Amino acid sequence: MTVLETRGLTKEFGELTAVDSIDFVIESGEIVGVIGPNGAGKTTFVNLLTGVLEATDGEVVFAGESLDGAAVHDRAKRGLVRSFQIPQVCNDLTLLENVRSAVLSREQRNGSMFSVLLWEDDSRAEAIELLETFGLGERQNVEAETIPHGDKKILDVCMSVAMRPKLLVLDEPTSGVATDNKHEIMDRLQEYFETTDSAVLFIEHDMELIAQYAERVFAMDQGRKLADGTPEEVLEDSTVKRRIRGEEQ
Amino acid sequence: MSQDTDTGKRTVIQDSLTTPSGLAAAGLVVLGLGLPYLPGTGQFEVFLTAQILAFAIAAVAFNVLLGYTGLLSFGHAAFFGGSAYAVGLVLRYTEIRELFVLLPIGILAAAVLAVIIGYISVRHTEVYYALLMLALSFLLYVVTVKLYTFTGGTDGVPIPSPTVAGVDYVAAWGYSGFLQGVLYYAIVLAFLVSIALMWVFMNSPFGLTLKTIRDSPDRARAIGIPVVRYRWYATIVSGVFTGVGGVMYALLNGHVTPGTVLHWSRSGELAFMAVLGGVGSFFGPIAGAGAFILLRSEAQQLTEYWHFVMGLVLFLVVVFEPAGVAGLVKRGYRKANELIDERRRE
Amino acid sequence: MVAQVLSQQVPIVLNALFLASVLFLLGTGLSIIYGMLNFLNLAHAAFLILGAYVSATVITEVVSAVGGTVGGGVLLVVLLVGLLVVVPAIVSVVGLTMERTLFKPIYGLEDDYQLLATFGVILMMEDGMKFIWGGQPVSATRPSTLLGGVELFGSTFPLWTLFATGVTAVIAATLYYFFEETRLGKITLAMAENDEIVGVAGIDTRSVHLKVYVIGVGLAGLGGALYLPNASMTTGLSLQFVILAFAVLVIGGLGSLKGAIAAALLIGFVRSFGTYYVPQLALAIVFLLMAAVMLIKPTGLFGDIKA
Repeated sequence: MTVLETRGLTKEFGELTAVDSIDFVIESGEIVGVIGPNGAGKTTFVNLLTGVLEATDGEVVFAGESLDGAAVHDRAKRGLVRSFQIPQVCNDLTLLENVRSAVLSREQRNGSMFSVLLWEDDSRAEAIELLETFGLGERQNVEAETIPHGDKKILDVCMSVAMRPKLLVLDEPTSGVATDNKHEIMDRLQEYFETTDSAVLFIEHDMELIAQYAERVFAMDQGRKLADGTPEEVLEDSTVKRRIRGEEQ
Repeated sequence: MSQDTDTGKRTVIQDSLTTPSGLAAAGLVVLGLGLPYLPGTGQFEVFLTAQILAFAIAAVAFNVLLGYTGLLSFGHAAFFGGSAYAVGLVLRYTEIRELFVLLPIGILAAAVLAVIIGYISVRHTEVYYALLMLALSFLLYVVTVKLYTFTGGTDGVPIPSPTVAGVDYVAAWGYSGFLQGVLYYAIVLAFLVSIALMWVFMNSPFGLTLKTIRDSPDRARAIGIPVVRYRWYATIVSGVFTGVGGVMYALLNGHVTPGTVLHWSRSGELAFMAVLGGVGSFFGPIAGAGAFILLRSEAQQLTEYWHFVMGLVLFLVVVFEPAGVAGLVKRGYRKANELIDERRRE
Repeated sequence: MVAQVLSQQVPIVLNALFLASVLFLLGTGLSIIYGMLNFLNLAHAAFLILGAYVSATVITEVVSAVGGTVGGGVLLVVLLVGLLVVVPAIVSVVGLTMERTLFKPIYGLEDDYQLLATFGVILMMEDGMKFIWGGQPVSATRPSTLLGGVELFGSTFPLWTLFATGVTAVIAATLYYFFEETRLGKITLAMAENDEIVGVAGIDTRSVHLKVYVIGVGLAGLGGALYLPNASMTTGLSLQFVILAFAVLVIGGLGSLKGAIAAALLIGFVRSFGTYYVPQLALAIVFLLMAAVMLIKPTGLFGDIKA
């Protein structure tokens, strides 16, 4: 089933066309890696999907509905959720509170004023389970400010996963993380997504990670689609090799 | 509600009551209730305590925005004074004298103002939010002063003592009896109910939503929270309870003027109380209100230039102790614990 | 008929220009300090009040010292030097002292806490001025009366209004030249964009900060000096000026000189005509205007920096 489809998606900043009429489709359960040199328009593309930026032209169709004019929070509610390259977590809240906030938001309970969370157990149990799945269970009562950068990235993803997304967009999930931990993060994610039918779109610079974890690769250059196919096909494509992998012919 | 959560609730309440701070709070409530009957307390002490409680409601309400939502308002005088003036004008133009009618009217006025002023102000954050609140509340001040035929201008409006459940206690017991026997308890009750409600709100999913917005608006949006709308809701909740404080202040003071309830310095004072008490703590602003009023009355006795003293204190608190009284207490408590631990180890 | 309309409208226009001048001097100072130093000073308007109080003292002292011995022309020149040079200098020195002691520790704080801390500073400054000059409003109209008036359409208008507008126009032009043409001006603008780059380029950012700050405070002091001969001043007006200064910044757009000029003129005219036609609500209209601009164009009329 098609989760998301873009038709002629375009974003212009003045003279510069950052994203140039992109047609893109992702099916549920698919894990797609996005690659491209710096300035290829990957982040702009993601921002157009999640509603941070408004498209100049074209449209995004998500779960059969056009997302025209839908705000970031609205898209998240519908199941189009993103994580951040620089982790965005609530520093003064505990890990449990961070994830619980996402769980409660998914349950449409933001406005519930009269139930005291201290004696409410369902959302707590779910949040703890998620933290445990991602290896943060032991530190559930620690403030997010105090955990290392790599763990913040995991917490960031964990909060996104708590939304039970139909499509999760991961903006460089392993950037700024030590090489050893990159695989740990990706393994946890892969393990988790095997249990759901959520689609995953992730931006990644590390071709090794792309080859290992992506089922399909979408290559971008100068705002346009360069290639789209299996990792083997795309990574061996001569233009991709030249433009993105920096190899001389 | 399941039995599990009932037991959970009981455990939480039991746990919190047996901590030193829980015991201290319970002790303070008992002390507050018995205050008028303590030896050596007269009208002055009761009045002062009631004043502190009225401001404490507003200061805690102010902190719903600053401490929990991360928005600094320089316009809370609009809600404090708006509700006080609503009561004053109803008393002036109608025959209504009943506390249980006046209070809802005051709260409603604050709510309406918060809905309107909040709607405009939450389009922006940080400094711009603070300044929009300031400008819009100043607008209310200017209009109140200028429309003197209706509002009494700078002279303000008198607030005669209300009846309570239809009984005119002032006629029966005299003013002192009314203050110490009725009005004081009405304010204590308003305080306890307001604080309890706000505590529940701040510990509910709603409160967690606000804290999420405070810490990271981007993250809040990414997990589906409509940030602007919730900032608006927070402004309304804060405004409503500030209004409760305003009504209580008006009834206690017996008179309101634009200068005493609508002026921007009132907004500044509420900010001062919250910061002095500690914005990182729910109960801190209560201590802040107490400390502020006691400090101010000392400064007023000391010098004609007490504004200078208050300004200096505010400045020093912001620069050197941004966590306020609550921060000091927390640190002191931790130090004491460390000392006790050390002793034990020795 | 035409003369009658003009004699009614011209004073309002002149008054609008006068108000706009004072607001421009106040708002520009606030804007450059906020824009370049990222320091939001709620107490900035208090420097305007201080400027007015110092002017009152300067005028009184000069008049009592030499008023009887020299002619009107000489006295006027002495007074003008006092108001245009000595007063801004004194205010700048006071401002600099405060910068060293009070403001330096709060540069690093978040905007909200800067507002709170400088709210404390306003309280201190207001009481400080009350301590020195007493709580009564001050006025000193001698420079204005010496300068005299001009007969137009059958009524007399004080020349001081035009003089103040002229001085402000010269300053606006100088500032424009400074930011567009001089090295320090360009550095300051670059700094507003990115402090680090300028630091790397081997420029002493602290010294540029101080210069910008002193200019900003001096302009506020000058605003007070130009204001006083035409109107009376009291510490109670500080809030009004605080909000009006921010209104200039908000309506004009952050960090835009053109915006500050346009906003000051807009507020000046709204205020002046408002005072004439709907005196009860003149001030209210200004604030409504500010709220309207913020709702419709949040970056201000000329700004592109989103707050």
